[in-house]
Order: sequence, then C-alpha cells, then structure tokens
Amino acid sequence: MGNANNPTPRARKEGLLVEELPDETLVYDLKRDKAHCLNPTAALVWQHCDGQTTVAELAALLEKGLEIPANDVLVWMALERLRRAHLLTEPVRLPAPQARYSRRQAMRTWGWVRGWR
Amino acid sequence: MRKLDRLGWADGTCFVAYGLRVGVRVNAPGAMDRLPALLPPGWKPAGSPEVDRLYSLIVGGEGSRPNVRHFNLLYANSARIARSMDLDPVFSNLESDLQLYIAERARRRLFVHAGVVGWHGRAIVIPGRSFSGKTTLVAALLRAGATYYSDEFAVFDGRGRVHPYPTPLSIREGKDARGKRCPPEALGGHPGVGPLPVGSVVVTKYRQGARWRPRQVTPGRAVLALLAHTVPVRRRPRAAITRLRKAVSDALVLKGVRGEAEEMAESLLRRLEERVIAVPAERLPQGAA
Repeated sequence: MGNANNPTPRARKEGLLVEELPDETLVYDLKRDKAHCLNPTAALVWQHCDGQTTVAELAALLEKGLEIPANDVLVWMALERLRRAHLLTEPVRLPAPQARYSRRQAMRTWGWVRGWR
Repeated sequence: MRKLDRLGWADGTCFVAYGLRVGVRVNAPGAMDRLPALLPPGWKPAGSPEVDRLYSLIVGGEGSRPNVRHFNLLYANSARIARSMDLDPVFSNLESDLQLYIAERARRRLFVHAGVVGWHGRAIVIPGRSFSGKTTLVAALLRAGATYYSDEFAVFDGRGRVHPYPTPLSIREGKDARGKRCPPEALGGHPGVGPLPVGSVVVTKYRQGARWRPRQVTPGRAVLALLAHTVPVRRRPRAAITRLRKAVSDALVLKGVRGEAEEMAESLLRRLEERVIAVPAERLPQGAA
C-alpha cells in the first residue's frame, strides 16, 4: 500500500463478477450480494490498482487512457468510491487537503478545464 | 414428510411450469377446483408423478366434536407455509409461494419483479416490488393502448427478450393487501403473444403531486435497477448480469418520480413512439419485429 502520503492501493479481485459494458463496468460482489456500476474513471483506477502504482501514476494513466485533464483529486475521489464499495483490499486514507475537497469543487475544476463553464 | 404422506389424500395433480415439476395434493376433493386459476401461465399437466416440489393442502373445517374447528394447513414439501381458519389466505399463500419457487428455480428463464407492457414491438419494463405502484402504471399504460405482458414478473430469455407472463392484474383498492383480479381486457388491453426486445426500462416510484420529468440514465444503471429486483440473483448472479446486459443494450432507460399514472403513461408512450420513428426497425435485434 506504499506510505500514507504516497499510497499504492490494491484492488480486490476475489469474490467478484465483472461485466464490461460499452462505457461502464459492472461489478457484482458475491460476498455481499451487491452490485456496483463503475464509470470509466473509477473503472480505470480500479483496473490499475495493483499495489504498486501510486496516486500520481494513476492520475497520469487517467489522462492517457481517458484523455481527460486528470489530477490527484480525481483519483482520490475514485479511490473513495471504490473503498465505499469494498473494492479495495485495504482502505486508503485521504490526505487532509483532499478530504476537504468536495465533489462539487472537483467537478467545477474539471468542468472549467474542459471548458464547460 | 412421512407423517404427511400417511394422511388420507382425496385428490392431487402434477404439472410442469418453466421446466419445473410441481405436485399439489388435497384432503378435500372440492379444493382442487380453485387450483387452475392459481397456476403460472403456460403450465402443462405432467406425465410422471415425480415432482421437484410438493404442496399438501389440508382443509380443516368442522371437527368431529361440536364447537371444534380445525385450521386449514398448507405444506411445501415438509415445511408448513400457511395456517388459517379462512381458506382464502391459504390459497393466496399457495399461489405466491409457487410463483416465487418457479421464479427462483426456473432454469431457462430469468424472473425479475417488474411490470411489463408492449408498445410498437418493444417491451417497457418497470422494475419494482409489490406496493411500488407498478400495477397502477401498467393499468394506465394498457388504457393508453399498450399490450399486456405482466404486472408481476419480467421473464427474460437467454437473448435478453421479455416473454409474456399474463396473469390477471392484481389491483389493490385502499390499503387492502389482497388485490382484486382484473383481466387486461377489462382495462382495454390485450395480452401479448411472443417475446419482445426491451425498448425501455422505467425506474420510478409514485410521489403525490410529482411531475414526470425523467432523466436518462446509463444501461449500467438499468442493470443495477433490474438486478435489485431479480429473484434468483443470489443463486445465478452471472447468468442474471449477462442476460440483463443483453436486455438493456438497446433500451432507453428513464428514471424519475411520477405523479398520476395516466399523465405519465401518455408522456412515456409518446416519447417512445418518437424513438421508434427515430430508430428504424432494422436496427432492432433479430426477432424483434
């Protein structure tokens, strides 16, 4: 999992059924009998959580894979979503500044970057 | 089970529905008369007396001594599933247990709690549990000209098409848990015949005074909504996900609260009609016409 400031999250793979849709990934948790629908961002982060890739590297992979101006905040949001869905082997703790960074703020930043405003 | 077997049985029958063999035996001959109305659509008499599940109905009534009445009892295999002085709730339990058993165990079909109607050669699937208002909406859609498929289950085949499950609609009045049986013809509709591809999945619930202003959601969200109401999801999660993914691949998925069913039904059918015109029939999966 790396250190607290530079974690390397690992995705849970056991006890899951995964079905790929055109723009989404469906994950069914056999242990909890609960289904999750991951958007492309969360799905890409989840696929690359191998216990060796850092958050910064995941952000770079997002930029490359989805052609979006990704940053650490977006990765942290995806990791938080994956943690809540029990799709990581160990929970990752958000560093303090990111913890205060709301989804709305992230979307605003992202929207501004993409010229949505 | 042996104790039950030793009782005197007056009548019995075996039938096959969705590949499952079911038997029913009763200790009073007249009790069998009510059975055909409770059986699932498409049932056929079975040739062999071997069954996967056996229901035993013991009709109580007056006892041998004065002022003594016996309970009516219903067993599914050896488990007692109903006990009542009144026979109606016992038959009602028989019907619902039989439906759930078939929905859970049917091998070649996937059962999802949903109301279904047909419209321009495609199915509109409204997932929801009992008391979620799906029957009210199905009834409104029938009055608006849709074809009746089911107000209880959407029955999917391996290609993701929906088959009819045309039991009479169970329309509840007030807070009464038991609905009044109403054939679709009484609402101006008629039962559908063949399987249909899914044209739309509608995820909604009733809220007094609400206006139907749905938002379009992704096929993945539709699969989640359908999975939440899939009867054998724990038993066959992989098959359920695969079939539902196929089912929603070409569907318009709408989500939102609704007010009165009539208002929503017209708006929904109009919207789907526009989509049918926009998406030509040749784009439909094979067998949809």
